[in-house]
Amino acid sequence: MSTMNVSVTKTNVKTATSRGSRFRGLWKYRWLYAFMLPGLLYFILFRYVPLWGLIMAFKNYQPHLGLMGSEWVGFKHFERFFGMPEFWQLFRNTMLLGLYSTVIYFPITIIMALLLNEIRNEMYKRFVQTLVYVPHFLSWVVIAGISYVLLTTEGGLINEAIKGMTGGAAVEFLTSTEWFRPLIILQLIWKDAGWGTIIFLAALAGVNTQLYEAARMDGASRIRQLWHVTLPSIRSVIVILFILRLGSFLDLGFEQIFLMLNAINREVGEVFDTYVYRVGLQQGQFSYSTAVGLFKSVVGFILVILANKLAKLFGEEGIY
Amino acid sequence: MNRKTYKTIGLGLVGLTLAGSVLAGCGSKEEPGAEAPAQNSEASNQPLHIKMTLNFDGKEVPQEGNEVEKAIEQYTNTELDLTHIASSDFCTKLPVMIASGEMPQVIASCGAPNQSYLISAAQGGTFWDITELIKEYKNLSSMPELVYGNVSIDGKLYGIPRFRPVSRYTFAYRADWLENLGLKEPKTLDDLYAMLKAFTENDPDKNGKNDTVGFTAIINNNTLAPDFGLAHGAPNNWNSVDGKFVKAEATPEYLEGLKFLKKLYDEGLMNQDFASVSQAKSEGDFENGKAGVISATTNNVLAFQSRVQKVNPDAKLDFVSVLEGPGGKRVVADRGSNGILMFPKASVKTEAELKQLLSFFDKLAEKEMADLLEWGIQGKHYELKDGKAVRLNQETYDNEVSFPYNKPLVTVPLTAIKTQGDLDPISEKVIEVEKANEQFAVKDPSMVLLSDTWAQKGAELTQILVDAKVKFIMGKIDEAGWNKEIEKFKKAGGDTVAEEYAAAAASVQQ
Repeated sequence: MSTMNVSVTKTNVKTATSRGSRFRGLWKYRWLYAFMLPGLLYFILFRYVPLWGLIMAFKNYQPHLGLMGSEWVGFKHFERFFGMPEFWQLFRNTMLLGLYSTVIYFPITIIMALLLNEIRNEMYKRFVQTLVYVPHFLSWVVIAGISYVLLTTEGGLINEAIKGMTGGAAVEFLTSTEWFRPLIILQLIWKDAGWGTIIFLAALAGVNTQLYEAARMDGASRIRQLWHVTLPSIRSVIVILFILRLGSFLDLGFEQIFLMLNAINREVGEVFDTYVYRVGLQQGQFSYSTAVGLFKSVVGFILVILANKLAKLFGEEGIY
Repeated sequence: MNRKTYKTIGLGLVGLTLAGSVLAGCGSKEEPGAEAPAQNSEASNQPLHIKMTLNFDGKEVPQEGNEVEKAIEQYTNTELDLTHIASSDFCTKLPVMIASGEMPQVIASCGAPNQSYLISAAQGGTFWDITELIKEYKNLSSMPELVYGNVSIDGKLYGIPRFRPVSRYTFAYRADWLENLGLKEPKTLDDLYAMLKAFTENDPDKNGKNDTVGFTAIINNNTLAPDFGLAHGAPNNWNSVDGKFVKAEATPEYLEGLKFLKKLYDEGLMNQDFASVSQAKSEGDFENGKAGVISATTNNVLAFQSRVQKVNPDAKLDFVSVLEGPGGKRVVADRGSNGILMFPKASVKTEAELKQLLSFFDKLAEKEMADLLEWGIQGKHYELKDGKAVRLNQETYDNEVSFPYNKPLVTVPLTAIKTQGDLDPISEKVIEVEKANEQFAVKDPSMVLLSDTWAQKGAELTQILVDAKVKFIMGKIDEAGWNKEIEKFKKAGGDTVAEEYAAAAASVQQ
């Protein structure tokens, strides 16, 4: 970034010939620019142009009037959203689930990658890897179905086992406020933790083996090697993935939560996404949904900026 | 300029064309209009092409060009292009379809047309107003006036309602179990309670195991079934007393009904996982002979019977609609229709085209079509015996005719038009019960009124109440907690809705 700044200031002071040389540079790398074009077009068409639709959040969008024809209402939808009694409940539910998935699920993917990395038998390693990737390809509907069969109080496998072993009553896993969050996180770990190891494993494969040799020479144990060689080597990857994860901090798996929600656990389970679906889409209130979505994006944006600043403070590169 | 330059320009042009084609894709909003058969009025022998999007309650959509569809096309001289969307999905897709402006010539509403997006679209002129036109059609105008009134927006009709009986809620139960236990058909709530208790505790299926339960309850589309409020004297949805509107759940009678349900839950006479159970599982329990009673509507008791008999050929079903409770004999009066079929102006350009579509639906109520839709194809779905139709296989008829064509397309009641049938006992009882229920039916006074707040927040508000009901039944909240939830409902908009209904009712009376 700094080099680019320098070149810009230079061209500003220099004469016409250098402007020509800049053009010549452009010309020289023309094929690289051409390669960039499709990607650029993609971002403009599918990422930037749709941003225009955000004005919907400040209008009372009526489908038959169209986006331009609808009436401007300023911050009305935001006022309704922030003003409703359940706002803080939604906010807390979303934040807590986001937090749990970040502090529990995210480290587990790293630990799992480290464990896989320590396996010496290549065949066995591949076998385990494939096995832990499989759940990722199941849809949430299937997983919700499995959870139901295992956990229902009416003859669910786990509840039958609990009843059989302790002789006590069935645990209301599916219809209680206490079990909702653990359930969601456990499902998330079961489904996606294996898949989440992929990037870490790639990073681990890139660690210079000479470092391990040197550490062994110095008499470092397996644990010491892990702590002083492996982890520092993949630190930047961890930081980048962590920052990116914060960007979607509030985007919890809509489908997963929606499928697990019911009357009893709604007070801890309703998050922004399910609320938007229920109120916004099912009732056709597009402007209101957009306002809530915009709010979520702003929170995600702020989190990314903050995390990036923090990462730089600790001497890491960050994502930009 | 050397050759490379041309290459670059060429590449740029390719990029531009690509961009152009994508942009063109975005701007194709006008096209559906072009698809509409504008020339049809002149070349009247050409079959009319009709594109429809309909909600669908069956399991599988039959293949295009099947016998039934062909028969309809031939008789009405049309070319049908039907899109069936599962009812559970339909309600989320409808607002998006309206928003995109790309609509077929005929589109169903999501249940009663009382959502805010639909009302504002109708008021904004998205759909044809057919209030006057519909009177010109012989069959369509035979619809009971009440049905039209219940789906009008500002007194105008924006689609053809699909008739269904006003009072149709029943409890379907295992008649063979009842016989096994030597019990009689339930007539009162106490009878029902006794039946559920016996179904749960007295081994009604005689297999020597304690593996049955009385009721299989469920929460579906934000409604808890069963609901015993009405039988205890609570109003149907809203009550209007001296110009003031009170929500049913806010009445003490309703709480009594809820306590009855709680009793069933506490004593284990109904499924304990009703709060998290899916419709498939709940109905499956009934099919498999785990549960003995289920909430049904008059038009699906027969389908339930064939499903139960598939598992257990000796099973027999019966049903009861009105149960006398502390509040007397009371049963819910419905809107009398299952949504309306609307005609978007974006794809139906002229009144002439609209008339063609209306006459299509009018033709569907002629005798030949009525027979096809109600009985199916002769020899395949039914046979004639002494001039009376006899159904061959209920399930085949349901899957090939009823779900894909009858339920989505039939508008006016065909009972009097079709060939009379040699009916099974259940179908005969259905006709009887639907008639008898008229005197016990309790109307919902809010049905013909509009409330902006309800249109906008209705689903949210209903959710508060449903959640509270479940919590009360499962013992997560007590009576004080219930009252607190009712207060929450009122504050969240319930009070405003009541005021708006009262104002609307007052202005109607003037």
